[in-house]
Amino acid sequence: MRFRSATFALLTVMTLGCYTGAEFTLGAPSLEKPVSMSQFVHDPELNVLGPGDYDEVNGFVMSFSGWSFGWPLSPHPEKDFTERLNDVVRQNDGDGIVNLRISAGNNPLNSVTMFIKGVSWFVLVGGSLVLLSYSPDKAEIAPLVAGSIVTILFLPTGAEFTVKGTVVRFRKKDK
Amino acid sequence: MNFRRLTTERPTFLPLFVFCLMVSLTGCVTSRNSLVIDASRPVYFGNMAKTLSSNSAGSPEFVESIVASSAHVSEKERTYTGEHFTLYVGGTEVTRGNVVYHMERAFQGEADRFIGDGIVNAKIEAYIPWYSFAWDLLASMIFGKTESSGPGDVTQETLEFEGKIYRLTKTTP
Repeated sequence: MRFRSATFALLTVMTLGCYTGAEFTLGAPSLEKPVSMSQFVHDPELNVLGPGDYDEVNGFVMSFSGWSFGWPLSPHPEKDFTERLNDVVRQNDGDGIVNLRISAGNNPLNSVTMFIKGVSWFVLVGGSLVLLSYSPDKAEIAPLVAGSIVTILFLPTGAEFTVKGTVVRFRKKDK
Repeated sequence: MNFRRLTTERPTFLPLFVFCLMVSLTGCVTSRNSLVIDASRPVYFGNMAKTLSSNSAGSPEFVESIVASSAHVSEKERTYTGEHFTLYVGGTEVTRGNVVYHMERAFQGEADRFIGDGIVNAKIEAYIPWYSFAWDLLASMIFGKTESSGPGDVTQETLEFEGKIYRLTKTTP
């Protein structure tokens, strides 16, 4: 019985050791116009254009948010910016986007997650100690410990993303 | 040891509960880690080949010239053209400023290891630890700021950049 409890506690620690936070893949696989993260971009003739070769039409800022399970083995959601970036270029009648900046940060609602997970951690540690002892309360404690593990592993964590950039229009070159 | 008595009668869990509540109330302190790429070549977010192909209506072979270009470079260049690479941003050791450094190094330094005309298929992996704002609160108390602005800043949000270096070969009409 003691061996089983020790194994359970060991598995718990190992499982939680793998535990991380929210993870997302950010991409835009089907863009209609070139979107560069630097200040350089190609024109249709493959010339590299720098800041003096295009007009900055408009700057834009977009915000996204998402939730994912904070566990490495769970699938990581993909955030596809394609449509919104295409819309920005179309609305401004631009030829592309330069200086794309992406920033990621916490969702303020993570404070609720933080609270629930913090309490779950204490229930897990305290409950595991009881399970490892000769206490008669094991049957009562086991579901609580199991519940705290599930909570810690599968309670979603939020993230917020901001995408900034500048829509540009290529200058016509004199021949 | 009775679990119910442990949680109700002993005062052990009360301060811990209050601690959890206080830490959770720090949600208003949220740091942000930005990925700024100060490279001297184009770095395309998304599928550059498809993008430029649709942008240059008169030259549909353009995509092929990009893909096939690796076959026309020297052996040394071929080794690195098209190679995937990963940069880690954020965390406690590497921050935004290092990205700039790495990007410049990737293009210009280290004996021209990467000889390319830019980067395509850039993707970002964002990693947000659930305890990050507690960490950020601590960092803001110590350093007095909540946004990463350069090397040495402390933040827990991590951005991972992945891209593919390409080499353009202009199709001569």
